[in-house]
Amino acid sequence: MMDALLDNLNRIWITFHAKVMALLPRLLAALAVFLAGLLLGALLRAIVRRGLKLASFDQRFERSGLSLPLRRTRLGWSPTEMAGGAAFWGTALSAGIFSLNALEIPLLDHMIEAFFLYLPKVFVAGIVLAAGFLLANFLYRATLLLAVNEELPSPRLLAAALRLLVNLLAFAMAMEQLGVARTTVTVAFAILFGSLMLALALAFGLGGRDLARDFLARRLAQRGPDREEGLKHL
Amino acid sequence: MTLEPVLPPGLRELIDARGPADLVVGIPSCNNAGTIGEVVRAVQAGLAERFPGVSAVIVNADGGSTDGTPEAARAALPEACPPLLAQYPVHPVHRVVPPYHGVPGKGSALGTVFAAAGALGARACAVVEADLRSLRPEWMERLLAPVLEGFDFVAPLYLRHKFDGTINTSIVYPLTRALYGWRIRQPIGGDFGCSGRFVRHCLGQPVWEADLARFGIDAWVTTTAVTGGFRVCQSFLGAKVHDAKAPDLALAGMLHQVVGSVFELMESHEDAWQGVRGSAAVPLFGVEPPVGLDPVRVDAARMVRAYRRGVRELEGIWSLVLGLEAMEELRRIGVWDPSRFLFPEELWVRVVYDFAVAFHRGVMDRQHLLEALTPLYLGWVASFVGETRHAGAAAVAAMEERMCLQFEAQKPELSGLWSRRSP
Repeated sequence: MMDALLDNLNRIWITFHAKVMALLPRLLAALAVFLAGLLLGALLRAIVRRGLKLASFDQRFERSGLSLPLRRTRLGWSPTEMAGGAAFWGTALSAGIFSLNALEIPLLDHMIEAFFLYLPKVFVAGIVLAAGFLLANFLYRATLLLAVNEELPSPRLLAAALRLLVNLLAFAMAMEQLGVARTTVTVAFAILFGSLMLALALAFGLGGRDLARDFLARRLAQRGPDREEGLKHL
Repeated sequence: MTLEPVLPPGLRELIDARGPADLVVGIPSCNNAGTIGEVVRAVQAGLAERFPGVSAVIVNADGGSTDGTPEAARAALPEACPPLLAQYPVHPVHRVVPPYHGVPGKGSALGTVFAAAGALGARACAVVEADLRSLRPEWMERLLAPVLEGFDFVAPLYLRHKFDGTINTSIVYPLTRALYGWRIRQPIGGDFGCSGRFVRHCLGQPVWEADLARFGIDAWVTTTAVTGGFRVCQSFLGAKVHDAKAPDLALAGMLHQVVGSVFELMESHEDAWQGVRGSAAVPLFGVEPPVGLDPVRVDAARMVRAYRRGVRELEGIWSLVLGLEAMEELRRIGVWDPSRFLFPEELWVRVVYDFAVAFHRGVMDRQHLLEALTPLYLGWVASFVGETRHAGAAAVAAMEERMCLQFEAQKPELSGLWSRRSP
C-alpha cells in the first residue's frame, strides 16, 4: 500500500518535474520578453515626453480648447504625461501579450488570437471617440461664440448640451463598433437623445413660450429693423 | 505661379475695336439697378466736364445681376458712347456670404477692370462702387487728376459722422497707419484712383485667385500701394452714402471679413511693416466739403450689455489670446455702470495687437478668433460713443489721433510678440 503510494507520488513528481523543466525555458523567455517590453516602454515614454515638450504640445493642447474637459477629470495629468503614459502602457501590454504567447499554452494562444482579432475594432473605436471629442469641442466653441454674438439665451448651456450630444453619439458609435451590449447601448442612446430633444423642445416651447415666440419672430424677420437699430453705424 | 485676371469673352474684341484710352473708370456691380444709372451718369458728366478731349472708357464689371443692372448702365449713356460691359464669374460662396463693402466677388470685378485698363493702355484708372447714392461728377477729377499729376494711388477721404464706420476708425485705420507708417484714413474705402503703372503691378500679383480677393481686395489694394513704393495721396470726396448694406451680414461676419483681411495682410507683408516706426501724412487733394451729415442713432447701453456678456461667457476663450493683466482689466471695467463705462485706449490697442498675434500663431480657428473679438469691439465702441457723444469734430479728431498714437507707441511690443516663437 505504502509502496504504491510512494510510486504514484514519484510518478507525479517526475511528470511535474518534466513539465516544469519543459516550461522553465519558455517562462524565462516570456519573462525576458516582458522585461524588455517594460524597458522599451520606459524608453518610448521618455522619447514621447521629450518630443512633445519640444513641440510645446501642452501649450498647443491648451490653446485648442481641449484641455478644459481634461482638467474636469481631475486626474492631474498633463497631456504630455498622458501621451507618455499611453506609450508606456501600450508597449507593456503588447510585451505582456507576446510573453504569454511565448509560453505556448494552447488556451492562452486562442485568447491571444481572439485579442488580436479584436484589436482593429478597438483601434477604430478609439478613433471614433477621439474624432467625436475633437468635433464636440470645436462645436462647443463655435456654438458658444455664435450664441454670445447673436444674444441667444444661456450660451454656455446651449454649447455644453451640443458638446454632450456629440460626445454621446461618439460613445454610442464606439460601443457599437466594439460590440459591447450593442442593443442596450443603441436603445439607451436613442432614448437619451430623444428625451433630451423632447425636454429641450418642451422647455423652449412651453416653459419659454414668449421667448420662443420672440426668438422665432426675430429669426423669421431676418434681423429686421428692431434688431439692427443702434448698431447700423458700425 | 501668378494667374493674371483675364478679360471676359467678348471684351477683348470690344477693346480692340475701340482702341486705346487714357482714362478708365471701373464700376463693379451686382444687382445695383436702382443706383447704377445715376452712378454712370455722374461718372460720364465728371469725365466730360473735367477731362474734355481726353479719351475715356467706363467699364461696368457685373457679377451676374438678375435685376437688369447692365441694361440700366447701358441705358444711362447715349448710344454713341456706351460703357464697356463685362460679366465676371461669381463663385457661389460670394453670394452666400455677402461682403462688408462692395459687390460679391469684388476681387474678380476689380481684376476685370484692371485687365481692361491694362489692355486699353490707360494712364489713369478710377474705381467707384455701383451702390453709391452720393457720387458727384467732381469725384472723377478728385480721383483721376492726382494720378495725371504723377501719383500712383489716390485713396478716398470721406466725410463721415463720428459714429459711422467705427470698424475703420477703431481698428483698420489706426492699425494700417501704425503698421505701414502712412496716414491713410480710408484704407478700405472702396473708391480709388490709380496709375497705369500701379494697375500693371497689381495684375502681376498672386492675389486674384486667393481668398483675400473675395472679401479683402480694398485693403489689399491700399496695402499694395503703400508697401510697393508707389506715390500715394488722399482726395476729399465728401459724404459717402450707400444703398442699404447687406442685411444678412451680422457684425461678427463684418469683423471677420475686414479685420481678418488686415491681419492676413500683416502676415504677407511682414517684412514691410516690422521695421516701421511712427507715421507720416500723405499729400491731400481737395478741400473738406461743407456738407451736412445725417444723424446716426447708437445704442451704447446695448453694446455695453454685449461686452459684459462676453466677459461673462467668453473668458475661457479670451484668456487663450490675452495676457492675465489684460484679462483682469477687462473684468474690472465690465462691472462699471453703463453710463460711466470706459474702455481705456491702451487696453483696446493691446487687445487688437494680441488678437493679431493670436491670428498669426494660429491659437485657434481663425473664424472663432475673430468672432471672439466682437464683444470687445462693441465694448470699445460703447466707450467711444460715451466719451464723444457731445464732443465736436475737433475733439473727436483729437481722441482718434490719441488712439492712433497709442497704436504706434505699442508697435514695438507687437513686433516683438509677432516674431517670438510661440510659448
